[in-house]
Amino acid sequence: MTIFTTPRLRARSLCLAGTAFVSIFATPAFAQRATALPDIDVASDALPPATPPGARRITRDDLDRQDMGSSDTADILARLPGVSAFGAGGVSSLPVVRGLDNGRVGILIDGIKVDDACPNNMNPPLSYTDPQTVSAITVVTGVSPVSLGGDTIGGNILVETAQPKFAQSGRTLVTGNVSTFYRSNGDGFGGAASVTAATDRVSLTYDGSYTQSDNYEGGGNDGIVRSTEYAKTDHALTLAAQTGIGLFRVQGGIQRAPREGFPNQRMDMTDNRSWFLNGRWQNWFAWGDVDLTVHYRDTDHRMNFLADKGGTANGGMPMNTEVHAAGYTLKLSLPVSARDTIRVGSELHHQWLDDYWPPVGGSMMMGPNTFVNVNAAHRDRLGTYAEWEANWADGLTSTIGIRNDQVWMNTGDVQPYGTGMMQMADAMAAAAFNAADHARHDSNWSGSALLHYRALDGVALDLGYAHKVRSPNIYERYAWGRGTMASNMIGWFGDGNGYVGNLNLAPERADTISGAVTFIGSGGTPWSLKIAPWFTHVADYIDVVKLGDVRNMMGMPTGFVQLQFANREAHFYGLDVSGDVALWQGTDGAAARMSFGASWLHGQNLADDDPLYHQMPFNASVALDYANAGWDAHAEIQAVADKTRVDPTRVEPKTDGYTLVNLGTGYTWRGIRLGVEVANLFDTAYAPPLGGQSLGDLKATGILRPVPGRGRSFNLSLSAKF
Amino acid sequence: MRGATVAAAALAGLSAFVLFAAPAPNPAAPQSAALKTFDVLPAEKPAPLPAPQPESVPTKPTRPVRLRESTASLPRRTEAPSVPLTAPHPPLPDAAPPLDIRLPAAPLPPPPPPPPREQADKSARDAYARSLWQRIAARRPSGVHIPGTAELTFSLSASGALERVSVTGASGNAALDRLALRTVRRAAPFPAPPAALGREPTFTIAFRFD
Ligand SMILES: [Cu+2]
Repeated sequence: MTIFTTPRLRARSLCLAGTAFVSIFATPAFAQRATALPDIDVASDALPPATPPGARRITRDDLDRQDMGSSDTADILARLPGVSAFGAGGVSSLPVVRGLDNGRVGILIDGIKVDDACPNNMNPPLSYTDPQTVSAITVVTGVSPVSLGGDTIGGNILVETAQPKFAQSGRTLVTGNVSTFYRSNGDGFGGAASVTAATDRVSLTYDGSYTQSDNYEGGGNDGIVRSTEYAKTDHALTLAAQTGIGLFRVQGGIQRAPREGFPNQRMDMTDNRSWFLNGRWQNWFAWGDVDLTVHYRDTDHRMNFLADKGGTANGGMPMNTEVHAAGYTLKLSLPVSARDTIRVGSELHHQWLDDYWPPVGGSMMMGPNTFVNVNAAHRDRLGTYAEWEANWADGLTSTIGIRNDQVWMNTGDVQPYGTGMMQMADAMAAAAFNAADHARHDSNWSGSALLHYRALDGVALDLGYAHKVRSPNIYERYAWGRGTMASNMIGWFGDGNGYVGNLNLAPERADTISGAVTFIGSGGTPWSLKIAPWFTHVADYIDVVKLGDVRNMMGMPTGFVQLQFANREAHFYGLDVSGDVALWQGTDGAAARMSFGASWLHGQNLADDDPLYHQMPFNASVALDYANAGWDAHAEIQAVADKTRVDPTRVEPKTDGYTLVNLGTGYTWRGIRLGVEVANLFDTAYAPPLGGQSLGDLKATGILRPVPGRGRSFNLSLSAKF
Repeated sequence: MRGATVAAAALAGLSAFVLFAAPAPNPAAPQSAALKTFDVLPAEKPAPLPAPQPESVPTKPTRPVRLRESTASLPRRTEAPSVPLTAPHPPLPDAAPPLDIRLPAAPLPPPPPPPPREQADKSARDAYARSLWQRIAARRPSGVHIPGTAELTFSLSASGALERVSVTGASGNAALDRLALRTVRRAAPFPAPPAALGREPTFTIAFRFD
């Protein structure tokens, strides 16, 4: 499914409105009495407050048809025009929105930022979500208002897990769904349950999921792709209560991922344990809305080698990361006049991170001391914003905001494994790092202005401009190792290169202009078309400069390079086009439609005058959908062009273009749905352009290739709602 | 670490509060008599309108909206791209508009045609009600995840100003009632009502939160 259906609710309210008008005015006798207007549906599934009207909403219904194909939320999002993903572990792809990656995109889970807790970004925010239990996702690819978050320069991905459900007045409610799936390629399987028990005042929800997979097989003759296995489980409890003084919610949960292979990293995740506790209070007054969230998360992350990379029988290479994060988010929305709404907000986010690599007994390189990669670093951010939204009389909406984020960072002294001959590079680097001042403070100003205009019936225009600033993350500033092995352990780019941090990094400052024109045709053959061009310039873009070739024991270049984060300058521009058309409508509600999407972008490093790293080549998809009361079916063709623009600094591989075909069908009966899907029908061999280098295979075979994409898989899913 | 402790303490407090505050009394608004005040005086014979003029709203609060005049062709749910009846400037889908191919599209049978003069009045009332509805719908809240239905009754002056508004069907949650009231208040003033609606016309509207 390439294109997601979105605002059903609007369609429903349309329908209601039409019905009600008819019934009211058909009886003129009531004309002098109170006239009943049609109901106003305040749909809980509408776009969240403050999201721009062009945002894409992916609902539970959409996910129901996709979660059998992938347990990776980012992978599912990458099917949207303008969204792609860096390949990583099976549940940990890093989403990219219009050329800007994970760390630059505002990703919030229930309104809360989840901190990375790994030098390879193995546990990104979306890895704490499971497509089987997510309730909705909102994606903003263009300019977003500053009220949606700070310390980011790209789009937004807003995930909602369990929204509280309450019973109708005076009743009780027990509702939920259970689901399970199987994927033939990799023997993947999993299951999930979501159960709510509620009165009209109190609601308790349990969400849980489990998913696992062995290594998958690439298409054609690509064979097994090593280090692609994974297993993880998430569980959360949400207690909510409606009271006379507002809606309260407390949510707590745990995640455990006992193994996740990373085909394009030198390490694998051998354990990830995380728990969180969030509280939220919302109330709606005559003068405005209040939304207060407080949050805490603790993550314990371990890396070493899974079997494909040699296992841990002789010690492997343990690497541990611990993170604590805490903070609050306060949002006020004040409808000050018929036209104007003022939004103000404040948020504090505290991140504490420790990263250390215990010594390995008997190893010359990895001992005798613990390698202290990051010593109790903290990164604290205080954000403040004010935003003004105005609904002008002539179908024009404007949203203008300004925001400041104060970022304070510091970290303690570090130490190498030892001071032997082979450890000299790290020993000298540690001494230099410890001699320097690590405290950093950035005051980052951002601003955004968005216009939405209904020019004519069926034509809407969107225009946005934003200046946004992101401070470097802890690893970009504080990773210090200069030895080959130490620097090879840093980086979330899946390319096998070594990365070194840079204490002198400045925040990156982006200016983005994005627009969209949307045409909607009704009549006998409803259709829509959206054309969205955009441009981003980033001053002090955090890219890399080359320090040198990585050499083997014999002093020969390995083909990999050692790089250091550095402020560069970049620009990106591109075009996303999408739309759909109703092909056929039957009398019993059966209908068929075609939808399509295409994305093209161009990213340039202006400092080097080279292509920017990891930019998706032109890609397009076409999908056919059919549904009637019980059956649904879809066929999808996905095409990706050759990737020929590559970043020479990072020795980025070129990849060939490919076309994939997916077919699926499902039958729903009394809330039970059985789905069957063939993904990659023709077992096409291909390499996703942002998939990175297959280092798991390299270690086993000595041959370097880009990570092959998944070959044909027969997927089955069974779910039931009650 | 200190942040952690603070957050944990705050959360513990919140949880405790939720448990204790939860069975708060249902703050239903006592509104049984409210409807009375809104009964409209029988208008002294509304002047016959020269012609149906559905779009001639004086203050032009919204862009003219294409109306579906024929009752027989109600907008069906499958006609996703039909933008007209929603808010004056509703959010358009990012790309794929909803062709909800599931809904059985069963158009209602057309009502019997009313006599000619009433037809004209009806058109005027109809158009006016639509413009009210649109103004209110355009300001509907979002991000509320509490079910309930709040019904309001409100009356307008000859100029379209909001004379009175009150909750005539409480939702059972004071916040939802407040949201509904706030939405109608923000939508005012409205265009001047047509004569066919009589003096101080009165309307009811229900907000269905799901
Ligand atoms: Cu890691």
